[in-house]
Amino acid sequence: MTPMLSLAAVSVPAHLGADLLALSPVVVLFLSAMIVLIVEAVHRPQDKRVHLITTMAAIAGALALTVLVTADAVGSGFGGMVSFDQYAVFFNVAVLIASLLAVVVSPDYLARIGVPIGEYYALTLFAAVGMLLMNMASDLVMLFIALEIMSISFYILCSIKRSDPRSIESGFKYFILGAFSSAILLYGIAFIYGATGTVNLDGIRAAIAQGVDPHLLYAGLALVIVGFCFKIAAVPFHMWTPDVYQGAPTSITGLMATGVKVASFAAFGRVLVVGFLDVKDEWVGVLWVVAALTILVGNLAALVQDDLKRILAYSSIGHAGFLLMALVAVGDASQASGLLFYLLAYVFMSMGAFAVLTLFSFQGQDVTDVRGLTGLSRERPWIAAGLSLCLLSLAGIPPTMGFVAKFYVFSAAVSAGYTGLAVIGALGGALGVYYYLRPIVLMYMTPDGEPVPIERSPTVNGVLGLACAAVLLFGVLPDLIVPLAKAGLASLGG
Amino acid sequence: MDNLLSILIFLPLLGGIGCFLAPDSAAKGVALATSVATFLLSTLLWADYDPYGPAFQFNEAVAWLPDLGISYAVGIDGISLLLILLTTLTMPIVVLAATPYISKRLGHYLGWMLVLEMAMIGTFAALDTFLFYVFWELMLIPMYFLIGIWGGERRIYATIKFFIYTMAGSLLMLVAFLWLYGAFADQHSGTYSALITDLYGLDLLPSAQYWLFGAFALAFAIKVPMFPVHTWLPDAHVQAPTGGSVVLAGVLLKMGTYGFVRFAIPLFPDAAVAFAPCIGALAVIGIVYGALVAMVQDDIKKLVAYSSVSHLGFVMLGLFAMNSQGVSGAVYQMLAHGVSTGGLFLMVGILYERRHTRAISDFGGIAKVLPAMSFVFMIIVLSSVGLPGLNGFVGEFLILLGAFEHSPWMTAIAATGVIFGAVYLLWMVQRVLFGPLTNPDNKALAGQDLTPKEWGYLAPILVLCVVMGVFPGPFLTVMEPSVDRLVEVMVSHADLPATWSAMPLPADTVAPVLQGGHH
Repeated sequence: MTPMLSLAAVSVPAHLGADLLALSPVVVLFLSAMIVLIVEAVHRPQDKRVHLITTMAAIAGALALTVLVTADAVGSGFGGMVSFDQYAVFFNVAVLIASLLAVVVSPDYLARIGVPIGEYYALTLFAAVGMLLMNMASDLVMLFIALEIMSISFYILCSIKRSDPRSIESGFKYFILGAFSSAILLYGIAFIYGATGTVNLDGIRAAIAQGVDPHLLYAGLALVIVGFCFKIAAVPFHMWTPDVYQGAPTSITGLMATGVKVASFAAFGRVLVVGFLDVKDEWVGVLWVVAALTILVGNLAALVQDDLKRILAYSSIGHAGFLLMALVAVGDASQASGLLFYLLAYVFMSMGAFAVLTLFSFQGQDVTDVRGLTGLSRERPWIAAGLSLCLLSLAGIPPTMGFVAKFYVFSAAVSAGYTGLAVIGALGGALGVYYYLRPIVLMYMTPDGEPVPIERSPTVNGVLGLACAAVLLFGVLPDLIVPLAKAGLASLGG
Repeated sequence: MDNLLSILIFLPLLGGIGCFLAPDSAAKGVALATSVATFLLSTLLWADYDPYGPAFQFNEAVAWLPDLGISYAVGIDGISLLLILLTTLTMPIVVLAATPYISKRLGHYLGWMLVLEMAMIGTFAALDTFLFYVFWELMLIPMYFLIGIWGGERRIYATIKFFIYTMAGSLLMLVAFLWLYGAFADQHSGTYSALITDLYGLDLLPSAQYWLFGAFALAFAIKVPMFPVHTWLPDAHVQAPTGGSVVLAGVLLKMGTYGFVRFAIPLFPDAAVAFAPCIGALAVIGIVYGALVAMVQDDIKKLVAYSSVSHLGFVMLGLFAMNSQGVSGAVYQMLAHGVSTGGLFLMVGILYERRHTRAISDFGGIAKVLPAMSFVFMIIVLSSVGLPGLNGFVGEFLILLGAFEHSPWMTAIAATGVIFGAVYLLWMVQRVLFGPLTNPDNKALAGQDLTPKEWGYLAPILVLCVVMGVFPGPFLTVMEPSVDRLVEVMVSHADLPATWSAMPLPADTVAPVLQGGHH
């Protein structure tokens, strides 16, 4: 790495070196992905742990670079295509944590479901590249490219279990709807370009300030919002989520629920705040309605699900609604930085839950019926306790990180004057409690049935332990994170 | 000790974690030692509390989320002091009563109990609204597990109903809290504060107060529970294990009434005054309805559960009488009800463990085979009925006295609740303890009278029933200045003639100590 960087710094205009340095986490991930691909193609190693080690090292390296090199970064690079600001750094850390946790639980799980494929790791790394770039993109074209890098990786990852029709269905559905929504997004970008003459977010803001054709601009903005709503699974564009989440391999579902959500919200937030904050009145109403619907539909639909992956899928829809509350309040309330806090919290609590779910796979099949949890507290008390903690955090019960996160977004909505939305959020949150409690009831309170045998995996124990520690630590001491989240949102000028 | 309150809050948590990790046999010792130590420490609060000192004492404050003005701030006034003592006294009793009846996972049971104790003390001590909310919600989790794991047959239904009811109410309260933070920041050029003492000073329009009061009142009314949001209570009580019922009736229900005292009324005095007739009416309905429903129950535990609805109706009536007699009576009744009803649930548990039924019709003539148990049961029932000389009388009397000045006809209806109370409780006693001993299962109880350990944990309750009935003075003295501050807030916002609250108590009737406090 180092010789290449210094070479770049010498032979090309000076700022390219700085730009590449700031982009170094992405570069590391990308090169590692290529290495995994080449090694897999050339050597076809029987033991896929070599890929695991490369991948983990790459993500850990990217994490270290993000924290060490780019943490103080300010400004933008590559001609304004990407931003290096605290906002991007915060989200990059969240995405990298999610990727790392997902990768760590993968090898045991992949072995169990019979998918010993080296490309899995390469694709995960490519997905991470896309997600990081989405966090940083300050240009709509760059954003689109990043989105596609991420999405195409996930289309393949979802259907990587080729023998399972549900996995194929998952990938196919995700591909069709993803392509569809990408097209809508791109169409919107074209309209915005038509109205403002630029695809750079700062440029768009400046153009709007000088006056543009409102019809073209808002038509474009509407399409962009629809495109994003597909990606974050907001109602009424959420239909794909349960099937895709259920069919995809569980470790990938975890990464989709967390990483994709983080990156999509990061990009959505940046577009709205940097590009369109001056015309907030035009889009806030739509977002209000979408947020309210998303909260209610997500939490209501989850009530009647019996499959844990589907429950978590609808739960992720519900959480998208709470996150939208923060976007509704953005610009009007400083607590909108709860968006960042919430997403980091969501990474921990959701990855903890999905890590446990990877243990429920036998003879190549995921067995994620919620009733399979019956009596888990006797069989595996620590796993049951950890999963309960993650679920209580998802439900927003103190003293967990999930509670502080909800507190912040509710607080943002109320401070910005959207008390009605907060009330809807409160009702939705109360509804949600039921389906988060149901697995706990089965684990602890149902008389001994025939518990489904559950696998053992030290990596899952580790991931769950880490997730629980974070959920509790940052729940009790949120001030360790809150200033970073605030600085992140502030760096957008929002 | 400068941070006595924090020690009181976190000592049970440590003990609770110890219970989770220790084997069942050791957990018993850990739980007992922790709860007794907590109780002994809490008596230091009583010793060092100065009723005529500042409004809140033993204060501690550490910044927690500085950007929103949120801090870990605790402190107590006379009312919370008494409620904390009630909590710390209840806990060793519950720990003792757990064995030998809790057969599975005893360590977890005791662990959850101690976590619950921590949350309850924290709720009573919190002076920061955020902290209050955290502890308030935290109480749900232990109770959820206590009912759900160690409860009766329909425990899962009961525990989920309990959880969702409470959660729905409290989330709306959270929104109202958030609105208050926003209002505070607006009125103080952007500085946030979540301190309850800061929020008291807010200048709120009556129209805003109505909504906010509504949100708070709903959350607290569910917890009290007031008619018509009481329906979770009978389920939760009947299904909960004995210890769970004791804590639920003894302390948790007081969270609701305490919420009115600490938050809903002083934060929104205009709205409280405006809604007082409404809440008074619901309280009276609760008193009569609870009593009538209790009368027709065949399940003793359900009967006691509905008696709580009735008794807590008295507390609410007293609070919204908005004079010092009514409010003192309400606080006193909170304590008395905690002692008596906690005791009643213990007795029901003792009876159930011997006969494995709670149906009144299965009993009869128990006094002949279990004389000591019947004696204790009788005293606790009489204290719950409100027999003069026992603890229940003082509170009820003060409440009715206060309420009469506020609304004679409401008081008249409420007073029938006292009569019904005597009817359903004494009738139950008559059918259970007295009468012919016909059922052979009951005859077989001979020789299974109270064990020394049962005497041990019932003794404090009996002593308190008598002491609180005969010497209400010390208790009233401690709470009086705090009560007066609350009454002052209400009266200053009420368009009532000042004489309403200044009516002197007949000095020789109840409590000479009250003399110093009215204004």
